[in-house]
Amino acid sequence: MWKSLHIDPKKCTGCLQCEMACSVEHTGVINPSKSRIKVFSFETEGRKVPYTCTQCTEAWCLNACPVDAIRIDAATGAKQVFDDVCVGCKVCTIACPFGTVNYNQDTGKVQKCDLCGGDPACATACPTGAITYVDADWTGLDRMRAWAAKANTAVSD
Amino acid sequence: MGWNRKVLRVNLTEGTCKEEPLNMQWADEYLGSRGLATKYLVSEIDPKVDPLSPDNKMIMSTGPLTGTMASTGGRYTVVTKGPLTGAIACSNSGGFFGAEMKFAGWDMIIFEGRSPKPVYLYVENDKAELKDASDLWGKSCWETEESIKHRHQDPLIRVSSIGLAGENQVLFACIVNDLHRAAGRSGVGAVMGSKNLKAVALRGTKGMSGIKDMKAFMKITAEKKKVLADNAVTGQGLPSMAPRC
Repeated sequence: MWKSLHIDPKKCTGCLQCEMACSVEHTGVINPSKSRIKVFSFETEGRKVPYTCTQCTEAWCLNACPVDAIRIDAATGAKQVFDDVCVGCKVCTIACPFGTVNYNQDTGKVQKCDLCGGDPACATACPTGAITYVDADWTGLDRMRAWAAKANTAVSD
Repeated sequence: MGWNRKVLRVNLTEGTCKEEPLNMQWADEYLGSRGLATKYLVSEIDPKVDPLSPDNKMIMSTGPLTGTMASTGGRYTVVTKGPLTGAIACSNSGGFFGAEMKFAGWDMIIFEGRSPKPVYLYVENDKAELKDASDLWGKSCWETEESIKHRHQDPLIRVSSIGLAGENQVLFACIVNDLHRAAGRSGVGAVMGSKNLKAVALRGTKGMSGIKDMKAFMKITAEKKKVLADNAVTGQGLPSMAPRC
């Protein structure tokens, strides 16, 4: 069963624990500038929004890659970059409509979310539950439950 | 612990930025941030110095946990001789500025002297330089931060700056970082203004690599975060009141 990263921006406080955890997982160093998940702050509106790869089924990054360096991890469904194949041409960074594949100057390769092999460090690190790792078929479950909770009550009659 | 073992010394009178090693004996004895910066300050300035004169120094300092996942690991401290009381002034602030100093490879920035014209310090990893801030003088902290990010075409820069109060050396002026975090105590903004230093802009991509055993560190910080989450004040009281920004 594949799972998906599920992001609830309402719960995000902008602490950047996810960015730090991501960089530690992939580089061994606390370095948000190398994180594959980014938290955006909309200061005038008081909103914080974490954003990362949604692992598209028809992944444009994967289709655009001229050397087949991006492949599907069968166990997790993640579109994974193979560093030993990637030539750093950055075509995938242009192809991705969401901007979630990015070049890394230190390695000369591109990097994107790989779901940490099935145990995403960002979701583990998030202290408020803004980032969770849920059944890929049921990312709407919490929202459905919230609506369902309003049904069959005295107010709804 | 998480030290880069590097201090940036900025002489505003001469317009120079120099690297020097962090005094590790002091770092061990005084732990970091407030204690360590205070040790540097009292060792370097005359206690009778006029706080708003070029002979006073202003130190922006981090601690061994700054730039890590530990709770409160975002904080940095400003230490100087305060203009409001004439005593050692210590003011600290959260946000991302302190962590960025660590990610750029520095533990502490010491400002000395007074610039002949308004300047801001721009640090990009190892590279540090003073840049003209004539056009920023008179601007608010928000305008300054926006202008600097725009000028460098880099929205990921972290900025700490003074507004009109600091420029005019109001004795309780703050230094504001990341738009709405402030080193608000003891008038440190007035000292920054007296030095004609409008802002400090940081960009660090090196990260914090000084941690010996990252796995053990992550484990213990996660455990300690649970203490805060389980506490009635920090776990329920404060989150229910906190503005989401």
